[in-house]
Amino acid sequence: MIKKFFTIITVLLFALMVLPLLRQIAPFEELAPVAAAYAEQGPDQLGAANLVTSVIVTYRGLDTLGEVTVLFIATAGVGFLLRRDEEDQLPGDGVPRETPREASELLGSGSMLLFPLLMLFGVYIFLHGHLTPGGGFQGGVVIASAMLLLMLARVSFHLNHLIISLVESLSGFFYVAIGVLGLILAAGFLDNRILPLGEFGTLLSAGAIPIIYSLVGLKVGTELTNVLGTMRLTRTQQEEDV
Amino acid sequence: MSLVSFIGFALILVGLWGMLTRKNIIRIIIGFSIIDTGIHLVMVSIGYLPGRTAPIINSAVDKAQAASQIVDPIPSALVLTAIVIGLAITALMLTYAVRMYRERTSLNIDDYKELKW
Amino acid sequence: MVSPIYLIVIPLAVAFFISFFDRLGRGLSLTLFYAGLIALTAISGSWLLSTVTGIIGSEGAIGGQLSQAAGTLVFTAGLEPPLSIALAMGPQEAFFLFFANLAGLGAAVVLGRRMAAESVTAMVLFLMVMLGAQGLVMTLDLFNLFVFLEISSIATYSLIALERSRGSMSAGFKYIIAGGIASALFLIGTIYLYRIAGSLAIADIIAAQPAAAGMAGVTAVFLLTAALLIELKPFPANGWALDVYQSVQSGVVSVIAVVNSAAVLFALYKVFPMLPAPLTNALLWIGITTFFASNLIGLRQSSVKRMLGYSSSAQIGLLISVLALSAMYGWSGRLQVIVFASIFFGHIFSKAGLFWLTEVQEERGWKGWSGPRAAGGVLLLAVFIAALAGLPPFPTFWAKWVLVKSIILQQPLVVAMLLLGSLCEAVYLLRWFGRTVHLRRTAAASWNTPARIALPAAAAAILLTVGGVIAGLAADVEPLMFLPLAAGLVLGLLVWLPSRLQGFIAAALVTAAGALFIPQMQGMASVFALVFYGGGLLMLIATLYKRQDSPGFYPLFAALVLSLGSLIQATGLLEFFLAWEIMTFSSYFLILLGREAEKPALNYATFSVGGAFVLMSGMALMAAVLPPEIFQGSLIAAQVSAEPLLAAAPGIIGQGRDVFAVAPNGFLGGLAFTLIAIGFLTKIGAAGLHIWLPDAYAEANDDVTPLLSAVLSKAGIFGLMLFVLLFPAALFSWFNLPFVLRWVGVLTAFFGTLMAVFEEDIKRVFAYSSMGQLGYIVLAVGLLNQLGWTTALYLTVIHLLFKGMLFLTATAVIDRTGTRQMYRMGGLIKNMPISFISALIAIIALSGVPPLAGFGGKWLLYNALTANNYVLLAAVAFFSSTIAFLYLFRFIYTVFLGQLKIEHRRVREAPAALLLPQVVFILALMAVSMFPNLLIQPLQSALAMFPADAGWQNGTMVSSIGYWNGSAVMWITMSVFILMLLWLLFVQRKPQPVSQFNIVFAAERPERPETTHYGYNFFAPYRKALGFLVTPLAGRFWHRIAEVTGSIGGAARRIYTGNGQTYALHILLFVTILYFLIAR
Repeated sequence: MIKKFFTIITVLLFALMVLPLLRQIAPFEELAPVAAAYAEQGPDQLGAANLVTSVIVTYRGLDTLGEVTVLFIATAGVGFLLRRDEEDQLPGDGVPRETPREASELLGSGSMLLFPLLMLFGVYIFLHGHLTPGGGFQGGVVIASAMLLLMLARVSFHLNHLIISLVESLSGFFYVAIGVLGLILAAGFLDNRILPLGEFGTLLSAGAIPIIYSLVGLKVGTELTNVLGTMRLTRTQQEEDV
Repeated sequence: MSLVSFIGFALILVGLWGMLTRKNIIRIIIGFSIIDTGIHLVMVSIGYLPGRTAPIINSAVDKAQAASQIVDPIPSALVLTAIVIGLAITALMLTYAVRMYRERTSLNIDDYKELKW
Repeated sequence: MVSPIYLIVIPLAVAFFISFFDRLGRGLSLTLFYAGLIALTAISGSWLLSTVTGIIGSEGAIGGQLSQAAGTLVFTAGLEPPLSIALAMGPQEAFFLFFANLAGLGAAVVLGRRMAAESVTAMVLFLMVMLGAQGLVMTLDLFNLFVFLEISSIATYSLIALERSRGSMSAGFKYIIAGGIASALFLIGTIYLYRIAGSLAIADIIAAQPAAAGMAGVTAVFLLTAALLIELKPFPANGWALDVYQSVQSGVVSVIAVVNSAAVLFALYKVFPMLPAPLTNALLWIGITTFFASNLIGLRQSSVKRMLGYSSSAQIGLLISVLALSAMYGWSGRLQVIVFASIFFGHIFSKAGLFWLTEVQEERGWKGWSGPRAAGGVLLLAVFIAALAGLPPFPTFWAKWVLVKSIILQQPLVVAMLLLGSLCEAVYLLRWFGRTVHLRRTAAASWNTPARIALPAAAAAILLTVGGVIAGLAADVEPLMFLPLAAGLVLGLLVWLPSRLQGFIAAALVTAAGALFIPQMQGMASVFALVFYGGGLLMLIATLYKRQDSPGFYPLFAALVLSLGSLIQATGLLEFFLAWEIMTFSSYFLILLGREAEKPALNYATFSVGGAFVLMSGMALMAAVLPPEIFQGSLIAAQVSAEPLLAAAPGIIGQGRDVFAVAPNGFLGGLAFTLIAIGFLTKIGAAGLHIWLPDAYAEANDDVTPLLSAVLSKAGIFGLMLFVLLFPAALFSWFNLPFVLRWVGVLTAFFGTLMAVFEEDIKRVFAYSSMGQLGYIVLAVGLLNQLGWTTALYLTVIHLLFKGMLFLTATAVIDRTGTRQMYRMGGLIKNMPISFISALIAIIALSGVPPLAGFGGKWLLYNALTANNYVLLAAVAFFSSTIAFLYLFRFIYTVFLGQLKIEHRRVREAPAALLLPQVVFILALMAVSMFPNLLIQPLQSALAMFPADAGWQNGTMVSSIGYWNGSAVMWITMSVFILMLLWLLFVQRKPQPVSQFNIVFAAERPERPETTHYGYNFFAPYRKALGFLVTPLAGRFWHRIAEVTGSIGGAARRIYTGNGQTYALHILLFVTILYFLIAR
């Protein structure tokens, strides 16, 4: 009871605390100087039509590298946390499970039909990240959802962890390597101008941005797949893996 | 004050309430997710300028006058990062919940206080 | 130079690719992992080197703003901020990173075994924790700060799963909740700061002064700060952190406590300039409250790791408050470096070291925490605990001194909380240490320290020591002041030598130091130097009578004796305090070597550390209220002669209360002096502050006690006299301090003597006797005239002689009979004749009857008292000295006379090493008794700053109320004795020797020996009459204080309910209440 009272007080106080933010802060009238600079110089400087993308991949590239890293850590962390050792007792341990039923014909065929389309869509999204809304993260999520579809629809689907982690590691490594190339060939770490900027508004433009975004897309896709795969693993499958 | 930021803060408060009152660990995590969503809304609302379009140079936006036609791209970039990080934290929280459930077969947060004082 | 961006690139590249190397072999991935960490350390180290040398080269100030001249900025994407994210690498960044990386490397070595056994993911996660720290420290962008904060947090959340231990999962979940709340607040704050400043670069936001832009700005800054603050575990919103510290694997905890905390602290440091003044002020109080409360609760902890967790939380609190203080008072340059950097440095390595050492024994309470088996392990533990408790020469010691000195006038409450908190911390750390040492001696269950722990821990210990010495030199301490420590270190390296050889080396060191320094001294200083070095040397020789089985014995002994010498050589307050603290802790460790000394040593440490803190605050206050030029070399000057000071305030000493008029600083000066006096009186064991004394003297090893009583106790007297000479005006500027001093002295004499009467334990008798004798000296010091001070110095010297003899006799008797209880002895006169003679001479000297030198002391004292009309004081003093007869008589009667116990028939004379110093003492005592002017005249000339009030006529001392000729008294007394002896021989020409043991017992022998001994409870009748006076009121008082303190700590920790949700509520309530406190 007393805790409830304190909780009410706390939430009320919190509301009062953020009230000045809500009341006194109006939306921007004009773009902030930095944003204006991005809008004015961005297209010519970096060659990407999507300004959000140039902010994400180059201007604030370090954030994005960090973001990819966060996802990477989360993947590793989930796997690390859920690794099994002998003392672990699962609630259902010792109880024989009935073998799950295979997916119906309709579900199986439908998922197989959708899967390549989803993959293609994902790749499309991250390849065009510098031109249209979307990018590596969005594309990666679509790829992961394609994998999720397989996992959900097909009981016997077996994730090839080696390939997944190979792709994940390589894409991450090349991302960092391209960053370092920026340091050597261009003005600084993660500078996209190591490649020619190309013709504005076309697929092969914006220097290294499409490459970086592709790597991010691959990395995010494989990382999320990995998380999903780890969380999906049933007892039996985990034992098989080991 | 904008409607979006108002809704954002309202969500934050709802999430806080959920996080502080629900006993089930999964619900606490959901509370967190709601807070996260609220924050993302608030962030987006900061970057929004009335009457402007997305910060992509295409047929709708003139490259030379982009600065007066587009909304702020920075909060969009930030919110993307924030979403990914929120996702990562949620994933870890859920994993922790799985582990805790394995240890004690309970999802009630009140059952996990053997460490204190 | 390697670009700092590689600090980000290397861990990432390694982490992304290491799993492939792992498939080729665990050895390969481990190599890669360590190579990555070493690269981080090397890069940050090279930047530290180059930035620091750059600064020294440019004679510039350390601690400028974010973009320093020394160092570099890295622009990612090749664009300048605010367009892109920039990283900075300056001296501060390099300092933080290098030491955090070094500590991380150490933790990785400690964790090596687990890393190899677990999956490669553990290495990846570890690298990511380190990556987070690099980014947090270097980034200049607010949102980027958030990203790295999350990298560090998420990696830590995952790494917690390294080892399965009770509760670690739920603790980790609580951690995530706290971290999640912090992230949410951080994000809201950041986005609004962007809205207000139009930029995410921290420098731009600072320039936009968001806090000045109305409530919204204040709120945004507040949310940001609150987020960082939560990560820094402020009291009371830190329950989650303590659970983590307690349950998670020690190596991982060391990373959380050290690397993560350091990085977040630096992040807070970066945003500090945008804080509004009330928030800065609030951070000061949050920090110091955390420090105080955590240490208070730490007193009640039984789990070692949770206790260390509280200590960790406390240290971070202290660092937060130091940050706030340096912002409030605009500290920069050396001040900031010494205070902040030293505390930081001391904290990370001592805390990391302690967590590493606990890795072997997870989940143990300190009561069952049997220590490391090897002496080296115990030494490491001692170093870390000393460094954490702020003992010299470790960095925190200097920091606390400078800190207290800088803020004592402005923030007295902060100083009080700092010192009280430090006292609690020292108590629980030393209690743990004492327990460890004790258990190691008694139980076989001690453990080996594996190399993977010993190596990094030893490196941390060496770093702490070296860093401390550097900090000390930076604080302008003479290198000579480190001599005691150096001597201890050298002897410590020689522990493999045979014990007696070590003793000889120690004696040689003391002799050399004495021969070098005594001739340089004059006046009062030379008297004390003679007592300290000479007495110390003789006591050192006495210890050679047996093989010392504790490896630390001679290093500590030598350090103790030399630190006493350093007290005299100190040229400034800090140096004096340094020597004082070295003396304190070396004597503590020395006492701890005693077999049953765990509790007494803790009591001693508690009072010593407490007394030292009182002393320190007094000295700091004195330094703050007096103009600095007074301190230029004044300690030395005062020891030679106080003339410069007395010239400034003529005639102060000896003229009583009329000096109120000339007192320069009124109340504060008086308060400062009072604190200083209390500090010294604690060491002296004045009545009320004495309860540590009997136990410590009794339970210290038998060859340590003589040093403690005869030599060490004089340190307090020296300090008292020195500071009276230094600040005579302050004596009267608040109240009549000398009056109080005199009464404290005489009451100490009275009660000490009285309590000695009722003791059965031979060492406790002399312990109380020591206390009583020092009471007389304090009384004499309080007289503030030449006769009084001559008395004080005179008593100091002859107390060394006779108490040295008494305690050495006691040592010999205990060694030979194997007991300390007097009623178990008797009739030892024939077996130990030389010891008997020594004891006899000593008690005649102590009791103050003619012809020996003790009489001179009494004569001088009563002269001085009656000359000033202090009749009541004289009466009490006289009464006490008659009581002294009782215990002295009993001692010699019970131990040496009467029936010899059967089991003692074969007892032999004391070993030569014990007799030799006694012979020296006897010779000196006889010489002084015969020719008092040998001693008194030099003393008087040493006290030339007082108006002379007693003169000499051919070896006869003449005062206003009488005269005394030592030689004449001696001759007369001796002739009387010889006449009586001759008469006795004449009347008893044929004495018949009777064999002692031809008695037939009539009945059974009673089981309890004390009931059959005439000496047992000898003064029972007196106890009936006077017993009420020895009710241990002081003991009860202090016990009560300890109890109350403990129960406050116990009550405070009840808020930590263990429920993660409640902790979340704590955090949010803490944040919101704080907000409304600062945003009024």
